[in-house]
Amino acid sequence: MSSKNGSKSAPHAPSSFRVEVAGKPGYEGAAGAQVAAQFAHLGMALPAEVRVCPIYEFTGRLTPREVEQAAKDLLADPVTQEYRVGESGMSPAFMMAPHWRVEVWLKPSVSDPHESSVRKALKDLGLPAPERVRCGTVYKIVGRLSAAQVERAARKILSNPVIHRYVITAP
Amino acid sequence: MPTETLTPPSLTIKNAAAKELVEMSRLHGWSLSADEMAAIQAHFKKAGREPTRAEVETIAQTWSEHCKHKTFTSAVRFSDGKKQIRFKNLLKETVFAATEKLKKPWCLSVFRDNAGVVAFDDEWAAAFKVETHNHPCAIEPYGGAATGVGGVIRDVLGVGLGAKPIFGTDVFCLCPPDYAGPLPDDVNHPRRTFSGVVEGVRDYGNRMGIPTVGGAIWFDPEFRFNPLVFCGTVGLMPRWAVEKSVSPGDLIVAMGGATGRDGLHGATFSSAALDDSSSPAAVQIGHAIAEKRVLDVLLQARDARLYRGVTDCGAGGFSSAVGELAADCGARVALENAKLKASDLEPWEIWLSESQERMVLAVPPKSLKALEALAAAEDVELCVLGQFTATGRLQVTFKGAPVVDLDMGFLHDGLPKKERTAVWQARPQNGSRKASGPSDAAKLRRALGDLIGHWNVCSREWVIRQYDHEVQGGSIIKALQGTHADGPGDAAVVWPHAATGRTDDYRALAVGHGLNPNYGRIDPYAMAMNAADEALRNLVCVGADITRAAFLDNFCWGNPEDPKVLGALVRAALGCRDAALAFHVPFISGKDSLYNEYLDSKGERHNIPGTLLISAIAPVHDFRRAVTMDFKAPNDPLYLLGWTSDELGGSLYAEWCGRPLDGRVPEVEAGSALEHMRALSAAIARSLVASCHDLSEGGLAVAAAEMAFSGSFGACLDLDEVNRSKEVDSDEVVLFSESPSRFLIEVPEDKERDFLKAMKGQPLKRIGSTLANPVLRVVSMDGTTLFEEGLDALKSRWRDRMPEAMTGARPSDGGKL
Amino acid sequence: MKRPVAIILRCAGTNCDLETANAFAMAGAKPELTHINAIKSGAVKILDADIFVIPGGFSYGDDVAAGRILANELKLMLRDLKTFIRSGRPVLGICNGFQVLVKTGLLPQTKTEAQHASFAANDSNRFEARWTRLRINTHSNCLFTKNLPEMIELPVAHAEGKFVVRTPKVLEDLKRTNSIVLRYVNEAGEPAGYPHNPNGSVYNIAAVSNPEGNVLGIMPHPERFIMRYHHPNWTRQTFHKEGIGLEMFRNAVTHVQN
Repeated sequence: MSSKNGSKSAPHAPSSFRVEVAGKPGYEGAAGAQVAAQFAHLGMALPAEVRVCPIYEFTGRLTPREVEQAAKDLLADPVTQEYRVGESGMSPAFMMAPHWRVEVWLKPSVSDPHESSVRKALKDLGLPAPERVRCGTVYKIVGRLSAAQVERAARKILSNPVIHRYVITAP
Repeated sequence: MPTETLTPPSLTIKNAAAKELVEMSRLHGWSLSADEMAAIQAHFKKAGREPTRAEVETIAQTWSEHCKHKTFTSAVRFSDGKKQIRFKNLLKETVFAATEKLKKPWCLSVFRDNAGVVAFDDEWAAAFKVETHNHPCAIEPYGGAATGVGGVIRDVLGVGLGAKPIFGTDVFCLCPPDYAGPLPDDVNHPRRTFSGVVEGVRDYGNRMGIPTVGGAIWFDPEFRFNPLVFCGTVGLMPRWAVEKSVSPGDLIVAMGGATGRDGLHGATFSSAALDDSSSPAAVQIGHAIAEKRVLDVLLQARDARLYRGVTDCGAGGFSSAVGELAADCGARVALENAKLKASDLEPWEIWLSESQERMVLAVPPKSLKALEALAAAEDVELCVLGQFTATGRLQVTFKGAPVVDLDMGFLHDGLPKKERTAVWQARPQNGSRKASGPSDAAKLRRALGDLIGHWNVCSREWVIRQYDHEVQGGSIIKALQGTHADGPGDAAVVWPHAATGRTDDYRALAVGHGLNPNYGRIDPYAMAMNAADEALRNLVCVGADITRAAFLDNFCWGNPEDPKVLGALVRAALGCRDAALAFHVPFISGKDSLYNEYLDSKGERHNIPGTLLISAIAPVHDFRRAVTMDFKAPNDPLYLLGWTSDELGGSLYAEWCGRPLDGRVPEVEAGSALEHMRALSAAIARSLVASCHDLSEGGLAVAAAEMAFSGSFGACLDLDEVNRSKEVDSDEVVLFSESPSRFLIEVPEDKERDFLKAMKGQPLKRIGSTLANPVLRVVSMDGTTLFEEGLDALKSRWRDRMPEAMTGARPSDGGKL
Repeated sequence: MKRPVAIILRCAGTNCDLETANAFAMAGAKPELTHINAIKSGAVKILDADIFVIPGGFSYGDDVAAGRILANELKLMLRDLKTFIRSGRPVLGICNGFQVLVKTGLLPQTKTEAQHASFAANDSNRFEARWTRLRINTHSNCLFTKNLPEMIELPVAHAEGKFVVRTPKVLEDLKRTNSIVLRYVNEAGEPAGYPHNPNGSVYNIAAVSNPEGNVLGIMPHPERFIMRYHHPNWTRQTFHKEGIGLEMFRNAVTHVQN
């Protein structure tokens, strides 16, 4: 993250920031266990753990400080969640055993209903309107799985390739 | 902006050979046939010019199966082996003919607007529409179901001058979620399809604040490639708002979401078979809150009388919406005025885009300011697209350059008529059962246990609790009933005046459904008669007035180009006509979804079983007298109304026995049935009935078990007391036959005499009593006890099937309420 | 007697506004459906009303988190709201409205602006529409639940209804000040697990008030039980003469009139 991102006048390649939100210990939610249980339907061993986290991507106009404010005052719940911008921060909510990471995003051709709400909320906070907002989901999967198995789970459980794109990162 | 977008790309059609035309249609995904392409070619030859792409796209949308119902409205030569019938217009001469003949004065708008409208009282009318969204749900269940709900809500917002949606219904035909057979890689697993469509309906309906109060789910592996998803909405409107009156000079105003490249080719997509390469462009996930905003503003604008016409943007987008509203006058549209999501849309894409959550209004110029103020106050976007004209032409431009200039006459009536061939061959009557000697009690008991947990009987609670079925405060008879609020209700009863604030007016509306594709496998005519009968039975069970009932049809069929498939469809349409006439219940709206077939990688076609859904709505004159299906007290007399015949063809029991299509399919004697149904619903309205449940899948045994465990009281049934035809010679037939028009009725002990007086002359017989002891005791025709089954065991099989399959866990009991 | 004015706040996604207005009308108030834009623009003033209500629904789709976006919007008018509350006038947040009151920091009421509690997804991770049994804290000051029977039934319909607290002390303070108004219970009146507690709320909390009792956040929907015919078992019961929910609205009206 360069400090130049804050400059408003000169045209530059739009920078993007990602904010990932995670439940604090005790607030991981039941979604992960429900996702894990579905691995059995694909004939795979159940993962030891799955966590499901929202992720947001903002492109253009917002400074790092403004992204931080959006994360704190809007995207993460102050009682049950923590956030991190980019890869930074290793707060307890983000501590996990080595895991596969599957990010699922809507394809650009599919309109995202969350986008307009997030835009409106940023405006209420007095923040500038980003050029683009995307809302996605991250699945963090702990378990002895092959790359092919994760790929299959991504297509059959975690996303629908008709409307989604996914990105897999190995442990 | 690049210059190409300013000049609409012209097509070269005038001199193309027939083969090239067909290829062109395929390439662009227009789903236009050779005849239709030829008609377009002839039209433009006469006009002396080439069409623009936007023009052919507009024609393709308008003539699509989705918008025009060209199969259902075409000429059909039908033969059933014995006689031939020639229809000039299948729909007009069957379903619609019955409505015309019945001429009910309370039918206010039928088969011509976005929904059917009937009078509710002197001041209010009810609009009802049921749509399918099958193809999108096959490839993206969540988004497909959500946009299906969104679409049918807009239909009701776009009928007349708009109705306020007061409840929704949802019916699915799906493959069982525990299906373990092989599936091609591009087909979603049925478990995913099931949870996806439930979540789609849930998230859209709940966010809109429209209670999903009723519906049905039918499971059959034959729906694994093509699931069926029927979404219904009922709306309430003042009677003055039933008619539109668009005038030349009115402004064409688009309200709601911006236009993007979403869902292009939705209408033509729904007219084509699915295959491995089905286009995903038509799938969106929907934005309920955008639609809720539009709803809020539209109804305020309606009551301020700020517009004269409204319709929704569904398949075909602006092209269909403006084309429909302007059909009798003409329209001029300047596309650069549209609010866009992306700046690189081509004019034809703006014109055809199927972005969700948009409505088109006809606004007198003097009302524009007031409308703009209303919209601005609630953050709803508006744009003036153009103006209605008296030219009889649809004229569309983009920044001055012509995009479309079509004659309305050609657009709406230019579709070449085609005569189709339909053949129906009756199935040979298969195996009347052999006289069965003494009953195998253990087998019958096992059958009851299995049937009560059958996918087509088991509890739908796992689904229903995910729907907000009580928002708006009008849900009076809920889908889940009985001591533990989990028994299977027959019809939902909704109090429309929750929305008007007239809190001392107790009139209500009941809604019910009839559907059974199994009967259709034997005879689609019988399927239609039985569906009508079942929908009415459901209404009768809560005490609705079926002399004021109205039907909606939804036909979902395979490829009608196959004469056998079309023949079955014709049989079903004839059944609808005859049911309407015999029950004196008009159809007020309908919809068909054809080409529900899957082309596998080997080129093999898989058609769905032809499926007809009949939805019915009727008034309940005083909901304080409505009843539910759960037994209310011990030692009450139990009566069975209706005749039981040996009709196991297509029944669950026949399926359980491994011979699903053997035996006679249930035959509806509508004339006598109507009489006893009317008598029963009148008796309910006089508070002479404690509980009432119709006999459907699984027959008497399943109905009695459901009433018993829902009310936490047992029952004793004497099978020999059942009114039955001569050929009925065994306990299994009495227990499991699915003969139509039957009801099991609990009568309060102190009202038995009055009840019998009210039902005099009807085929009514006392067959047992309710018991304090929680068991279902069945006495054989030979007088011995056949079996006695504990209600807890029956209930847990019924209750646990679906949650176990979907969550892996049994549900916990919420206790008595 | 003058009919007290009840502002029923609306925004994109509010959907229990009409039935809540009906309930207040039946209870003798004059409900005013008011869009938040009208308050933001100054066309309507909160302080002119007698009762302030945030009804149920999905404000802004519950995108990001239930009630969060509307709560941020209400923070822009927090001063007026606090003045309203200090004046002792009734404030009611139902379902989504409760979520909003918590996320603005108005409930649980503390000296700071911070948010001390929140809502998480239901333990079932599904939307739950079901009737619940509730036990009223008879020591509570809550004006809405005055003179109600100790055990009542109301329906819930939500996906994020699990009430949670930032620290154990927050819960202790709520108990100490008798601010826990309703708890989910079983047939015996005892706190119990799912489905009696439909969402997994800590300490089975279903409704919370401020210690003074004029601000109530409630997850179940009293406006869905204003007639006896709203009860899921009205066809087999005779003991409900009318919906118990109506009494809560009457209490608010009476409070203002006295």
